[in-house]
Amino acid sequence: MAQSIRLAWREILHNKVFSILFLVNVAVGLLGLITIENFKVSFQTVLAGRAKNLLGADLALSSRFPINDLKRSQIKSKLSDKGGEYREADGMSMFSMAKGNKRSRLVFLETLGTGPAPYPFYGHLEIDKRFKFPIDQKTLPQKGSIWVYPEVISQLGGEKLEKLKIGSIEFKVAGVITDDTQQTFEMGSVAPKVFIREDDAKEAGLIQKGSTIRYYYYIKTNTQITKTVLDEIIDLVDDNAVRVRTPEKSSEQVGRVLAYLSDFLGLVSLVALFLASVGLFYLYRSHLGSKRLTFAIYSSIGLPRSSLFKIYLVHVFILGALGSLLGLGLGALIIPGLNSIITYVLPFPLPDTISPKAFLMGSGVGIFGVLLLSYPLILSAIRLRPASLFQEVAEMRSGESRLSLIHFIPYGLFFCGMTFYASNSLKVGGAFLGLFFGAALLCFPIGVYLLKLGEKLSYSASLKWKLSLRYMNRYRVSTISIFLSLLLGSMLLNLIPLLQQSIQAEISMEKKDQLPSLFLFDIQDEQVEDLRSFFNDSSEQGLLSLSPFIRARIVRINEEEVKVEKEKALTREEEREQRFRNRGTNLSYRDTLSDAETLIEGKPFPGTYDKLRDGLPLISVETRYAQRMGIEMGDELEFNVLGIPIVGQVWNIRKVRWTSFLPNFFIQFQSGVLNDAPKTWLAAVPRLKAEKKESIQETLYEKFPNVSAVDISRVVDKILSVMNQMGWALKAMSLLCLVVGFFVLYSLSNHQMNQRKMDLVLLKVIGMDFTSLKSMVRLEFTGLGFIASLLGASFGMVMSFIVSSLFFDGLWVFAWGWPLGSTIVITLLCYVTSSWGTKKALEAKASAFL
Amino acid sequence: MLAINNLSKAFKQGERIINVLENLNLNVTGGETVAILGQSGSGKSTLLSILAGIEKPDKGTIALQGIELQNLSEEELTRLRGKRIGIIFQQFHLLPHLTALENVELPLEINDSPNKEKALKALKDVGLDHRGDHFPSQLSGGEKQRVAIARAMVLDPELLLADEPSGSLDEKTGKAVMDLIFDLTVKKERGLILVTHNKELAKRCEKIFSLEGGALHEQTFGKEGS
Repeated sequence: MAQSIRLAWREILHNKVFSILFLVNVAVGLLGLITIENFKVSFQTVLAGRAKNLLGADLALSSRFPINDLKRSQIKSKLSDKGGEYREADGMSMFSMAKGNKRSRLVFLETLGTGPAPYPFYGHLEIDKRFKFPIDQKTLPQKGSIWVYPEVISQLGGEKLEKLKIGSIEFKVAGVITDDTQQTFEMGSVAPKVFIREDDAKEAGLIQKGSTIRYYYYIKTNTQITKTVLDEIIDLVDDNAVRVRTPEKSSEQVGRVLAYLSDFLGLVSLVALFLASVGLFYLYRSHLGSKRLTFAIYSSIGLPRSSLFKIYLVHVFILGALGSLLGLGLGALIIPGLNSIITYVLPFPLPDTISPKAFLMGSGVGIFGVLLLSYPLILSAIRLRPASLFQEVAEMRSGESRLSLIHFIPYGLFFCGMTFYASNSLKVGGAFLGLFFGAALLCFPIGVYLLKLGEKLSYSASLKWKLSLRYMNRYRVSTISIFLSLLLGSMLLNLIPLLQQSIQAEISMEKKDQLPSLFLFDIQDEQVEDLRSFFNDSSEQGLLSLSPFIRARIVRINEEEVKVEKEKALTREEEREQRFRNRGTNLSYRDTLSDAETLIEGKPFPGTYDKLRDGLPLISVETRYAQRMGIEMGDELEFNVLGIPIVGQVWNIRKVRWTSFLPNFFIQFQSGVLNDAPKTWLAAVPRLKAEKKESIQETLYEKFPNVSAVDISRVVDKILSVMNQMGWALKAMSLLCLVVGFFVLYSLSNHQMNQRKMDLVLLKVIGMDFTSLKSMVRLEFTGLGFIASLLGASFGMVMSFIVSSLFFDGLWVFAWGWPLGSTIVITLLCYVTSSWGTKKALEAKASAFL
Repeated sequence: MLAINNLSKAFKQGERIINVLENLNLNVTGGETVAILGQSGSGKSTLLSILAGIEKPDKGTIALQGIELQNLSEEELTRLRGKRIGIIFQQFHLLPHLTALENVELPLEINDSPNKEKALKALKDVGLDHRGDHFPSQLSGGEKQRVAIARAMVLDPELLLADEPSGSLDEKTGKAVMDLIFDLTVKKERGLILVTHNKELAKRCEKIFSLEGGALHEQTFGKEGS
């Protein structure tokens, strides 16, 4: 082994240029993966460390109805049966309009309980940087006083905001929250927080029948809440409308949005890894090709092939390890910069160092991946027998023997595994790999046909075209593999930014004039007519999509009970399915489809339900909800509506354009079934000019103080600005891919030229002038690069259209900037690298033959 | 046809300067066959490179049909080489991805006068017209060298340079190849400069020189003549 290490190290030192290129290729290829993995791990670690502070308790139950005493006592006896600490606190949260000096805005109220134990049990609220509640001071704000988030001050009246009217009471602003350990971020969070005493909330008339209130029951206990205990508590509760959360579950929820982003970026980083693999493949193949004579000589003087294999495996291992270290070093430099971009959306800072998990991941992929990629090349290169030393040199110079594809299967499996790991989703990972291999399988026969055709057509063309096309066709496996590498790289480089642009464009400024201005909720039944008249008088179009909102719980699908899922989800698809199953259901009813809906299966409702005439009431289900819940046409669904069982039959399945911001529901009954159920109403206000919107909001608050209004344009702005920030991360990753691509192109052209050096020199000897030779070589590589990048960009556009249709409600925007830009850049890179990479070959002396 | 006067060429190896050729003189007339004998390291390859226009001398003149090669640019030398000088290598050096016919046609294409019939005729002259669509990997050593000869002769060059053309072949095949070379050069009255270390082969040429000390010394041991 020592001999192998020694010889391998000597090999590295004697081939410095190759070794440096190899290291840099590995490092740059890993960089994206390392930074994304580090981000994921750091975020999860910090989140887990803050989990208890985030939840403020060891266990929290929340529901739209108060948790009843029976359930409380059952939980208490389960958690305190062995004695020990057990503290409990209650809380509520709700949206409400608040009026400041100048304007009214939606705020999010959290009540501070007047029970024996102040909540939060962990973490704190820091007020005006003066004290921390409940650590330093356990007393609540005085009656009639509130604590507010800084945004409340800026949105509702500026620094002089001293009073805030919420409900029927004008509260004194007693302090501004300067730190809230329970603060999470939400993309497009609609309202800043206000902390209010529970008794004040009741007195202000905020707690009414039909108000959208969430009730909380918090527990602090020193009994360890294991999975078994948690499952038992969930069984005790036995209600999928009640959320049971531990600090761990709570932090998982908080991290969900960024988890999606990091999955997305993880896929992009795989593009860089793929490109780097291609570069490494050709680089190493070229290097080993130049060593074939050496291997034959080693073999002829008695070095067994197994020893040679070991030496070069160690060689690649060392290079992979050094490359990984370099990548980790570069990652350590980049991470602080990346953190500063993401800080915009994070409620807490991340460490600027590489986590041990990211370190292991980077090293593992760098070493293991490189070994898997390289060992087939080594096997092939050492296959040359010493007998060939006695044959013509011409056979030696031709470069490589055939590669056995079977040996690349382990690397293929490795790459597939990485894809599923990075995307955290069977669907997305599968789609990514499907696109990949699908494109490869499609291109191969097309490529063979085109090359043959090209050679046929070249017979009447000029010499350089003839020689180029003839060469490319005669070495078609090599040509097509280079072409495919460029095409796949270009396709992936285009697919992801195009998807991002489509998503952003849908909710961008250009579409803003089509979005409603306000989204209204908490409209009481008896207010509907007055509200309708108010808006008919105040605006041209009146109210849009006025929809009843009824709280319920789905109990059964056909004969099967809908139970709360307790097992931890493994993939994003499973996570989403669990969330759907484990939540309460909001119902509505309507006669016809809205503008934001399209029927996919079934027919529209035949009219209002008549109990005497009709069978089961009819239900319309949203398509994704149906998929996730396993609901099909004709299924019978049972709901619990405030204790009353309601059964209906699925009549149609529809698609909803949620980005219209119009009220809509997963489940709609036909009219005549739930009309008498206790309900509130939702509505949207069509597009208004800014001043009109302000004045309407003021008047709305005065006349209907309990009705909450969300300013849609502010939400959209917030989403867009967050997406812009995330977009920077995406752009950085795409830039990384281009940098890797540059190395790949250099490796490819270098490899090609090493293969053809003797041929090029021979052409020079026979009489082909330097200029013609140069333009022939450039034509091949640049032409190949241009066609591959153009096709790749086109494929990328097609794929982004397909993915948008499948996953994003068909939002797709034709954006030509990125495809055109990538085609030009890749072609230019091909031109530059082919010139640079071929310089040595073209300038080689013809006297080498003599 | 070929006149070399006081040709000198030196190479630098670190601090040392090695004078490979010193005041070398040679004259070759049309249709004349010349052998140059020399041990390894005597400067045969250097001389051949200069004769082929691949290298330039440091001093002296070299004129092919009155054209002074040392004054030409690399591009001009390449063009001249393509039209007027045919080279046959010890290692054949055929393009592996081209068929025998395509290899022979290549010089014609490079000179902007592609002509399949002419290439086929050249192949016929070496007895391989029936193997035109075979790739080099499908040919024996002797066949490859014959294709290389056809390629070297297809443009009807005034001067043929042969660097150990039978060096990679067995005795019988080598003799057959040399017979072919001499046959063609004599028939077409072309100049042949044959570089070899084989005295018996050298005796087949009209003039024999040995390259020693950087200069050519004419030898007079019994030769076959044409």
